Amino acid sequence: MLCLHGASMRALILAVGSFSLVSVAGFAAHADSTTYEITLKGQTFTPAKLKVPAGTAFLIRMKNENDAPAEFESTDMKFEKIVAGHSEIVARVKPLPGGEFEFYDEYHEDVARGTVVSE
Amino acid sequence: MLAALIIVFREVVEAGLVVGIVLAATRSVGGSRLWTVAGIAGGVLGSCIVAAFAGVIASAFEGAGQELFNASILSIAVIMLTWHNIWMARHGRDLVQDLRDTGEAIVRGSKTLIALALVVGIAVLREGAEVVLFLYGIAITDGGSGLSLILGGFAGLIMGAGLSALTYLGLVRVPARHLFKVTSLMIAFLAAGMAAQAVVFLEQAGLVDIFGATAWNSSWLLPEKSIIGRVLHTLIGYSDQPTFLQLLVYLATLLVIFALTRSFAPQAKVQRA
Repeated sequence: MLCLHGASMRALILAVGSFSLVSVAGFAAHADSTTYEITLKGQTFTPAKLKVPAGTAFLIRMKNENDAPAEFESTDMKFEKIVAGHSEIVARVKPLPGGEFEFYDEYHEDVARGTVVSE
Repeated sequence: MLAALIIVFREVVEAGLVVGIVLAATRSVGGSRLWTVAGIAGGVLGSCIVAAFAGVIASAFEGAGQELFNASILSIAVIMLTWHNIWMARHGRDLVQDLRDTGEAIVRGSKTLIALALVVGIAVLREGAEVVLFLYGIAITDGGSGLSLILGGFAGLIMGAGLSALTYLGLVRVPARHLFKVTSLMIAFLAAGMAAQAVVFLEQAGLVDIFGATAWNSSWLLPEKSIIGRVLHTLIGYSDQPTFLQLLVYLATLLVIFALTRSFAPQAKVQRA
């Protein structure tokens, strides 16, 4: 029993170790990207429409000015972040092809929405 | 009320499925229900703590705190699930034998129960904090009209519990001698999906940037955020726009788990003393 634990733990650590190595290998990815600012007040994003150049990675700094928390999310741009009341987060967006990409506050998905226009 | 129900329900789909699978996988291990409940309780408590410190976590590690936190707890879950499958490969046969002989299972699985309770706790914690914050947000902004929303939210939670029950009841219909094989397979896919999801978070944090091209886009066919998409996302790690790295880690996790369980399984022909 004990012997199994030792052996299986070692194997596991090895597996996790190689996984971490993969992560570290890609660590050099911190490029300085343009940051766009968006504010959420009530159920309105300002600006509700962001223009970005296509094919370039960028950041969105979302400031939540409400008391209530929000969840800043985009299915199109693949991010999902909790934003506590009166605080801000930064979402990272990969280079986009041309087109329109929606973001929203998941807690008020039907009303609190905005668009990124990539061109 | 319906909107709140849907929001909460889709957040608890993952936890609901995981709880059902864990309950079925440990059905014959003494004390498994207690440990599962402990895992849920721990997850709920953890959700409240994470919700309370959401702002702090988000701004940690230069804004990558949420992603790193999620990637870390997912990695722990993957390790625990892998460990459980190894344990099951070792002892599953004994458990089935004991079930046949005495109608009772041996109470020796406490270590794997701790591992799975941790997995349950993590599954609850992952989306639990969002549910807590959602309900809290309603409570402080909508005042009196918030009551029906909160009720809707709780209805969503109950539906999540119903999903657990459904998963469990479905799985226990599988004959005992196949049950461990089925649950082990499900747990392997659960783990692979979680490992791929951990990669998503590392990619979002900007910490990993290799093989980052999108492998396919099936969002037109089955959006990952739909209820069916979420169920498949949990069960087999379905993603509508995975990167090649996610795919790679997914397959690697499956391979590692299968290789490890195979190498630790007792020889088929050897009789138990």
